[in-house]
Amino acid sequence: MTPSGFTTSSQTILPASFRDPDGYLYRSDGVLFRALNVSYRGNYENLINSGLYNALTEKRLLIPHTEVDINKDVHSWLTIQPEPVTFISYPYEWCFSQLKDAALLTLDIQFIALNHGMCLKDASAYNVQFHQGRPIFIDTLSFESYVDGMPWVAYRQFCQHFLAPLTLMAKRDIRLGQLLRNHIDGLPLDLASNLLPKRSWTSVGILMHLHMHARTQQSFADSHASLSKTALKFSKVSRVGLIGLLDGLRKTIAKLEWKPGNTEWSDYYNDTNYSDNAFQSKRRQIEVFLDNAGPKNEVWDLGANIGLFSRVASERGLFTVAFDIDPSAVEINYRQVRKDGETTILPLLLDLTNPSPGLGWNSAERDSLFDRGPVDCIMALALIHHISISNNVPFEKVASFFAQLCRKSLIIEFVPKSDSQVQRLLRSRVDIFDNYTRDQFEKAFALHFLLERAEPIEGSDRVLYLMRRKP
Amino acid sequence: MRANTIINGIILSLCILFIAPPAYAYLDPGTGSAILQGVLGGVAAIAVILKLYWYRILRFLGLSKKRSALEQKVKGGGSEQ
Repeated sequence: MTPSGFTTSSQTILPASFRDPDGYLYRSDGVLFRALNVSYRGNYENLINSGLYNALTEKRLLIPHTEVDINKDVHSWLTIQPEPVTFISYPYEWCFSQLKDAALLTLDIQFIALNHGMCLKDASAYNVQFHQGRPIFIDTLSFESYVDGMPWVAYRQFCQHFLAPLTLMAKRDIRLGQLLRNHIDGLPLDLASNLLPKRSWTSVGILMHLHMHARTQQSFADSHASLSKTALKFSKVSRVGLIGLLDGLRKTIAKLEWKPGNTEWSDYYNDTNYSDNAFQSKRRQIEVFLDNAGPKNEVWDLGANIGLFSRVASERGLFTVAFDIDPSAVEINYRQVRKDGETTILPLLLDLTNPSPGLGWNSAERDSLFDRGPVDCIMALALIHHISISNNVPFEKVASFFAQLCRKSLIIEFVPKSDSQVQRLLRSRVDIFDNYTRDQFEKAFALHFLLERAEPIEGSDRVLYLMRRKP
Repeated sequence: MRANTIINGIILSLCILFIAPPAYAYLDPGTGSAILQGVLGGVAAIAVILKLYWYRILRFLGLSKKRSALEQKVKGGGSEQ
């Protein structure tokens, strides 16, 4: 049985951890633990004894854990302590390749599990997190013994969480990935099927696993018990057949491609007014500020684009989350992380004017952006004009927003009206921004921050500030 | 007998593909997926077995040396076990 959200002394059960009768996650004094119930005992022992756990953790496909103690609680049989993931992110915050890599990871784990006589009992995208730059499976309770002839119980969930959004992003519009924010158990297959272009019917994999899948669901959704029984005779799947099916599914996912570019920000660094000198000088200034900013656990770079300046922090060994609103920018950033094997930077999609809210049951299953902060250091470079001019947010509100996310220091760049980028934003609208001045900016931020340093950026009218959060 | 099941499966899937009622029913999402797997799995099993024989022939003729990825998935990984 899963207890429902009680707290004993300093233990809190995670609000998202209630659906699985085999166990639950809780925090004790800030440390994350997973309690395994007696019902999972057989499968857990299989997981370890069959060699599957070792096979997966050796390749960093599954999050490793240590067994902590045999819990004397009558319901809980064993407690394990998984290796903590620094920043929890969600599928609607991932770029195309991040979601695709998570999908391929899930299938690859399923293949290895089948080789060890086990099988994944769910294929939710929330079972995957990004850890040290790579996707990793975090649900140790997801393995069950494989019985030959049994169809894969997680097939539908896999298609909804991975195949449907990936296909829509690749074949229709990249922005359709955001549908995952509304459909937290994956996209309904009939919805995806309806939205896809007719061309998608020519791809055998998409035809079978998506279009046909959607229709079989509809056909049997309301069926009589007797029809179900006869129909279920058709649902035996041999091991070889299952592997063939999964292999085809993997090939279908692997073939999906999306080219970044043709979005607003993909050519940013070509159109901006940075001379090489200005660029290097800004970089150096950020390095100085980061060194001055004191001890830091984590840095959030807001509006990071492809992560050029995020890497000033991450290359110093600081774990940096590089947020940006543009799917192309996040995609390019992630591809670099993957290519170079970077472990201290995590690119994610985020619209600061509409950040990830709390979602799911009780609006608490998936944490809002605020729930995952505050962090020691926030960087907000070349950002303020997009928020205050394009989005009409007054300086006071921006300052208050950053103050909520920031625990210690803020590195922020003021972009004046004289800057060519701001001129561009004002080209097609009436300039109602009388308050958009450096003085007003400093006044507004001084309500929440101490303005420690202000350095002009060489070759531009911009000013880089180092601010300290007021206690 | 096996072929009969496959043919039945194909006919069933064609019917499903072209005669789909609107999805306003009280949903049982599991049955449809399981049946689809039965159909696809049956076809896939034949395809896999044929591919495995093909790889065997290639190795016999000396045209290919290593185990293909598919064989690893079906027969078990080389290094892990």
